[in-house]
Amino acid sequence: MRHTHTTARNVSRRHLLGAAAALTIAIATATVSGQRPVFYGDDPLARVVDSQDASKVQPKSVNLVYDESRNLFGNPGDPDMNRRAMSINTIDEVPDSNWFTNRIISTKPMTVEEVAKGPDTATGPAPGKWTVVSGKSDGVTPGFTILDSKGDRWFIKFDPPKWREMATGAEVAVTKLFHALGYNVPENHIASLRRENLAIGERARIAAADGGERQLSDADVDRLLRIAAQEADGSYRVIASKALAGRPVGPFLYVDTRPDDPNDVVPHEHRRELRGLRVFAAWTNHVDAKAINSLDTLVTENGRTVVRHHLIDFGSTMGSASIKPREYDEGHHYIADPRRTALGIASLGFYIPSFHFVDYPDHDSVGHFSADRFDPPKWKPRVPNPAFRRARPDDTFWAARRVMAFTDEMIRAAVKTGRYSDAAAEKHIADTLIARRHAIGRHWLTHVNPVIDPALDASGALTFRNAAVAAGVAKPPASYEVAWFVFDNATGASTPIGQPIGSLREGGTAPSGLPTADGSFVRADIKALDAAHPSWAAPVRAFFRRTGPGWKLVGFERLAETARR
Amino acid sequence: MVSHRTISMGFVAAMLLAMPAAAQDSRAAELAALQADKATKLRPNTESGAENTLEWLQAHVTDPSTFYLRFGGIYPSAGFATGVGYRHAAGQARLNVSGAYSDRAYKGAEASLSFLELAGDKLEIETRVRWTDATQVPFYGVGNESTKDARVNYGLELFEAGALVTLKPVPWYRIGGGMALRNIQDRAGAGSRPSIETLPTPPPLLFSEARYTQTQVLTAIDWRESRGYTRRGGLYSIAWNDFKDADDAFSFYRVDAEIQQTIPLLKEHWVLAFRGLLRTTEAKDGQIIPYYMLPTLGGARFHRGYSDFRFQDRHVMLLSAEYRWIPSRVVDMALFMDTGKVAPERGDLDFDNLRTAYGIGFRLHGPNFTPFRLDVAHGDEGFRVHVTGGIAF
Repeated sequence: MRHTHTTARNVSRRHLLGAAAALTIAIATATVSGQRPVFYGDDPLARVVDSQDASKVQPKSVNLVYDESRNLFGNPGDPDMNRRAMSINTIDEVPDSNWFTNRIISTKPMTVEEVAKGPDTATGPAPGKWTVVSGKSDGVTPGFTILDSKGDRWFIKFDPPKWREMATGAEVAVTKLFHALGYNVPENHIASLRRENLAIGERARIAAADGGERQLSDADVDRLLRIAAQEADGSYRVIASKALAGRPVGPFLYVDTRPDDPNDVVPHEHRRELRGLRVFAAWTNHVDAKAINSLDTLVTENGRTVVRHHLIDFGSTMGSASIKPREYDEGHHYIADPRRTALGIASLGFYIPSFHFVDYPDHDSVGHFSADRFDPPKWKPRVPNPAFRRARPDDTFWAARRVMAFTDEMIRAAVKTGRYSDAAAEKHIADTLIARRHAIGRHWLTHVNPVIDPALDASGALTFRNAAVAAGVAKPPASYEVAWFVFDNATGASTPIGQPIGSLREGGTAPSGLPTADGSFVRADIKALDAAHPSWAAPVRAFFRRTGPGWKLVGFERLAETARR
Repeated sequence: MVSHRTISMGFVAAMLLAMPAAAQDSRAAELAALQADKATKLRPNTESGAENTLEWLQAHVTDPSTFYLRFGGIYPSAGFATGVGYRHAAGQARLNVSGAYSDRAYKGAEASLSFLELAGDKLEIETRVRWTDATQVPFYGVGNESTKDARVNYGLELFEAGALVTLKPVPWYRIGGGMALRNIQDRAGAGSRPSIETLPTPPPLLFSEARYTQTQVLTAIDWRESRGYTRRGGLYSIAWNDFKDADDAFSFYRVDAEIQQTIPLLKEHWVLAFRGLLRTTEAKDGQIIPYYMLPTLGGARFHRGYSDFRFQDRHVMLLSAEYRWIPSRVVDMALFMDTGKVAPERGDLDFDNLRTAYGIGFRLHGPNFTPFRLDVAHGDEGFRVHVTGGIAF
């Protein structure tokens, strides 16, 4: 039976990816018969709707050791490591969906206050008696589940005693950042817990020593609290994470699709929002971006049951490893790195990796978090992530733009929600995020042609921006060059209009002879020419459709098929 | 030109190849068709065979109540031993019953019942019953000048039952005491070496049964990160033992003292580790310490330049130093030195005539355990390779 499932999965994957590989031939045939245009009238999609009922999705856990082992020692997923992301719309953006919501860059940009508010709908568990309904004594971060005085369910976790505020502060601050970046995240709050405010629920359970469950006791709560950092007034600073809406059905993998979810049709390693997570993880030092730190829930949307995908557990980010500061090599190497290990063994210890020289501040609440020697492309999670591995320059560019969209004030506001009692620690964290943001922009915004936001008006004036220049991480190029084409939406054929036109500024004028018929298409290939950035000479391609008096951007390609890395 | 097609949502186009050619008139409709197609091909989200196998293995290792395979642990010099065991946890109680057999025909069976984390994790009670049958324990003679070629073998059958109570008022300090009954019977040895009774001058009272009541008191300051693996901290321990023979023939006292210090350097890239160990015994008036109860030097934990039991005498001193480096999170390497001696008198435990070996080690470890250790040492008797688990010190 197992074999049958595995085979079926393999056949399904081969089918999908084989089909994608055969795309060029098959679509050529389709277009000759005129069945499918390149662009539809509703392109670009702003939101992906889950059209099918997913109520039959069943809970499924992920074995951590299995998941990490196959990512560490294998390379699960599509063998094509350079395939364009599949969850994007025709203008190279990730549409809103149950995976992702455009926030920090969207039609309505966020304010500083909105970044700081994040997903919050309340200020934390309602005051009064909290009823413990279950305990978690094993795992990396022990804690328990409570019902607050309003009956809302919250998961409670603590700081390790020696590093007060480290894990809780990281959890809240990074939750705010990831919410603004666009992910579904839980509502996390710093809260104060007093032992006398805890009541044990009549049916409260905890894992028993024999592997089963038993009634939770006062002694269990006391035992859990003994390993938590306690404040001078006897209270405990805790993280209170509100239970997500819907029925949990387990984590999502960073590879393949969920076979029982009809709406999950894009292999996860090809979702740009998961590939781009590599950049966000590097920014926040989220080395633990793995399956079990995600959670799918079944929710009802417009009367239909669908799966919503969340990132959870940010307590092990920045300088925190939840129960202690992050190991020094984390973020710099995979947990098993054969080359470094061999070099280290052979050198008798005299090969000293550079991370040993990273300068960390002496703040218990910060842990090991620094911008010193932070090199974005070299940053690594603890274990290879299939989606991260397949991130292309157009994916990392997309993500870097979002990181760069955070202002200093937004970052400081998010960090402030971590409620660090040490102002110097709070400042260090914010300064570090700001410095790491700049490093990300310097690398990933300049690594590929950074032209963005092309627009063509009725008069033929083309405008666009250079994201790297706008972010202040690159000087304006010597010039731009735009090549124009008439584009046949039925066949995909492009016919040049004159010679490429040079320009010293971000923009230009289209040549005469652009089609005027409603529904006609033109294509503009835009290069940025500068000796300092040879990769900018590979043009981005923008496609415009004539709509009444003007032109609408309907297509955008940052990495043309012939210009991939 | 056709590459322009990839600017549309790639997954939609790809999946449409497998679908009927019914034309869609919008991107949203295409996507909906794709999802509808998958809805006809749903499969249960079940574990793979590999995942199930790993689950089973993990349960075998980590479940508090399960049957398990046991490797080693019968007695030093047993060779490769395997066996089965069963452990069960109920509340604070942990029951563990196991038996094993080695390729040298050593046999062992034991049962332990422990109560952990009592009194708010300040009290531990451990009880144990153990039977061991060792067929060919090495004996090289007594003294620091014994020779490798003088080895003979003896057999030993041990039965012990005891309890130990440990109080931990703070996590880094423990004090405790215990009592055990031990019956020990030596006999002729098996194996390729001559048996001990063939020696020109056999040890006194050979093949006599000893019936001990052992009383122990111990105290320790222990601020290592864990007992199974550490990069910082120290252990300073001392234990006093009274072995009282029921027949007043083999009674003696033994004191074990140990100091360990581990010092991380350059953010734990290097670790310097030091150990000093002293075991000293004193026979009670008119009695003797049987040869098989004399402190020993040699083996993977007690001088890696020599085999188990290589040196024996009333007093033992061992000094160890390791320069460890950390090539990866799960691998430690070490250059080490072990030096020590055995002596008939406490005053002879000086720095003359030390037995010294140097070596290199490779260890695989987790945050608080070391499942694999390969140490290769070279001393005046050549190379010795130790493949084992657990820390050297």
